[in-house]
Amino acid sequence: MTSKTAQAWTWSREHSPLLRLARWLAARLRPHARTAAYLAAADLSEPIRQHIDQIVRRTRLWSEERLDIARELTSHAREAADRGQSPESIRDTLGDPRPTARLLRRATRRKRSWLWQTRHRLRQAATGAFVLLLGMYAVLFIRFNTASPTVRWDFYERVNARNSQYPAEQHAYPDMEPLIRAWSVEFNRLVMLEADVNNQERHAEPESEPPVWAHTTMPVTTLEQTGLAELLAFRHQSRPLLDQAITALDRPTLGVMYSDRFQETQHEDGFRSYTMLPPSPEPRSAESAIGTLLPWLGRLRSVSRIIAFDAVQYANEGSPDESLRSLTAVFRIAELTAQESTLISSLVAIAVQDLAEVTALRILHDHPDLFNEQQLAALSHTIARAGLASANPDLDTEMLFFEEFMQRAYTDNGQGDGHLTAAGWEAMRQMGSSAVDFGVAEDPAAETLQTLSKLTGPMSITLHASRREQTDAYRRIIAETHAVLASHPSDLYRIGGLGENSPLAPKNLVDRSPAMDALLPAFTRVAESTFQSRARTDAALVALACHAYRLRHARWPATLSELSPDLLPAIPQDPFAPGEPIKYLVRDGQPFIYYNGANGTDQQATPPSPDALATVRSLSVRYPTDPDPKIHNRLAPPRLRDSTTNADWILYPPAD
Amino acid sequence: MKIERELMRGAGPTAVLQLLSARPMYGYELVEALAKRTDGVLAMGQSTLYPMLYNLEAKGLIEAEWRDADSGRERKYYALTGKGRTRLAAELEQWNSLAGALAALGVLKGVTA
Repeated sequence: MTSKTAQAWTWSREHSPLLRLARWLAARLRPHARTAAYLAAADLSEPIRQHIDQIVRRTRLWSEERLDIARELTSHAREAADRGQSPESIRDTLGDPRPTARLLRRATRRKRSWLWQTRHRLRQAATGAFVLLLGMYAVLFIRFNTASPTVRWDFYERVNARNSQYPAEQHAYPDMEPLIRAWSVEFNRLVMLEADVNNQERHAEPESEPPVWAHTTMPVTTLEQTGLAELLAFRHQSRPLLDQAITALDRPTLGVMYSDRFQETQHEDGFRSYTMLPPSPEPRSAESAIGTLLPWLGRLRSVSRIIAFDAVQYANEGSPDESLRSLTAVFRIAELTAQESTLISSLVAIAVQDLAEVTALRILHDHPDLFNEQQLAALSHTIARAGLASANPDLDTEMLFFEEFMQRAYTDNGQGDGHLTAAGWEAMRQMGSSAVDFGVAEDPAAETLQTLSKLTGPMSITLHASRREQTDAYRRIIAETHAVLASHPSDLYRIGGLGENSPLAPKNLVDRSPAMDALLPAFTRVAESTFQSRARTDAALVALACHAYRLRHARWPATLSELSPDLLPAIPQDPFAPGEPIKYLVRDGQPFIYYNGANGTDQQATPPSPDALATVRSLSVRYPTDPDPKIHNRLAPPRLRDSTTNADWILYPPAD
Repeated sequence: MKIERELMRGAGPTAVLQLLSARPMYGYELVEALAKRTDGVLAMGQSTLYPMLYNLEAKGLIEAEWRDADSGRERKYYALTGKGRTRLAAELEQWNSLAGALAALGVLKGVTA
């Protein structure tokens, strides 16, 4: 190798970035290698060499720092040896390796750059914070997993108290179940039949529109509809079951008992029955009792349709007493369902009441001479009584559900406060699952609960709202909803925005309140449904009064004031137009009973398109429910300038 | 005489700075000087001296440099920096004030205030 080449090679070894990187990596991976090599080559006695090696190794410093210290200690040892000191004496002056290394390490690190010092302090701070958090978490973990809820009162005893007053023979549901079962089987059969027939027709004539089957539009049907013959045949075959159920609905209660356990039986005909078992004797993880109620509510809603169909057929046959009896039975379903005193049962009661009212108005319209005045009066009384029950949801039972969950999921410090327990955490997760199974909860709630693992549960003690905070908030919401329901639809904004920007339950509270988040029902929706139900009931009573007037005077009233007070104690108000009465006009010999609709203006009984009906009768469109005053104070939302929604909510005559 | 650790912690660095104010010295030389010139009062081992030197170096009061001695051995010499001189002057003043105060109290034998 020439000298120039050698020089070049030496230069590149010194300055090559790759070689420097390699040396740096080697120093990081084997920091003691250079020191060991240096000491091995040093002119030292073996005991001193090992002693120095021990000291330097224990410093755990960087490679170049170790080498520097080794050089210095070796230099010192040699100087001492040159001056005649014995190896033992030299070793003594070196000191005990462990404390010496510690002192050297500390002092050497102080010579490092300010950047390293800063990073080092930050690492220390982060480690300290982590250790502190870990300690705190350990404390929370122990608290969370060793805490247990205190169950102070029996929820099922309280919620079943009303039904418990009645002996079994006064319970309506058991005698309704044979009809429910028969109708459930028949309905499923009709659904399958519809699918088969429609498939065949689609294959034969791909361009043809599938027919509308009678079981999808019942109780109101037309003679041309497919499947009407099957419905009529079922009605005829099930006459004894229909009569048994209708008779049973005269009893004072449905007799549905709540429990946390029920037995499910799958029958050969496909029907699935549920038998309630006594509640568990020992307190167990809290589950929503609503889940045990849902199968019954669904079936009540379904069976109301076949009984309403029965009423319509009786009317078609010219049998007013039987038609009235069946109609009354449907209203009784609404009334008895409302007695179950939960929000979900209130919503079902409202739906059944609506069905019954539409059926009654359809019968009135199609057979105006069917009922006499006494029968019209009896029907008015039935509608009013059922309407009173169904359109006044008992939210106190919702509070009971919430407090039941709280007492089974949270600790109790004797003053109404406490934190979530591991049992409660698991209960929320299960509740989310079971609610999804029953088709009640939306997926976000279930997913939220399911994504939270047991490791994050203990953090709930500090991150989540306390028991008292949640209970107080829930109580405020209930009280405010009661107040709104006693007021006017324009006050819907007072319970709007729950979980977002409502002062009652702002987002930052609901986000910290998994129980509220999971159990917070749609209060605004219930309130709106209730107001709409009251409006429909009022309109139905006005229609009945008009029919009674016509029977007396052989003409429709010119104005509603002619009905009052004899046939109509008071003229109902238009919920869409504060201070204005319900609207009435006669056109081409046909009376129209209607409300202004969501645009708040009288369109002289202009009907909406079927697609726009939901918007036209929406009170939350008419009175925006956002609690922000800039939004809820707007009385004419711009989107209602759309021509399809410039229409009225017409309740009589009923829509086809 | 064994000096308490807390006292040594205060006196040791000043003593080293004072020695280095005369000329640069290496580790062993400093150990010898401290032992001989203080009759062993400020005698210290390597486990005390070198951490002290590194701390002084970290504070910028002294600086180090490897040199080859006449004997062919390599030695790490320590020298006072400008900052070190300033610090030494300040500490000498403090020590003199302290000595005067203790002498006035009769703590220091044979030393007048």
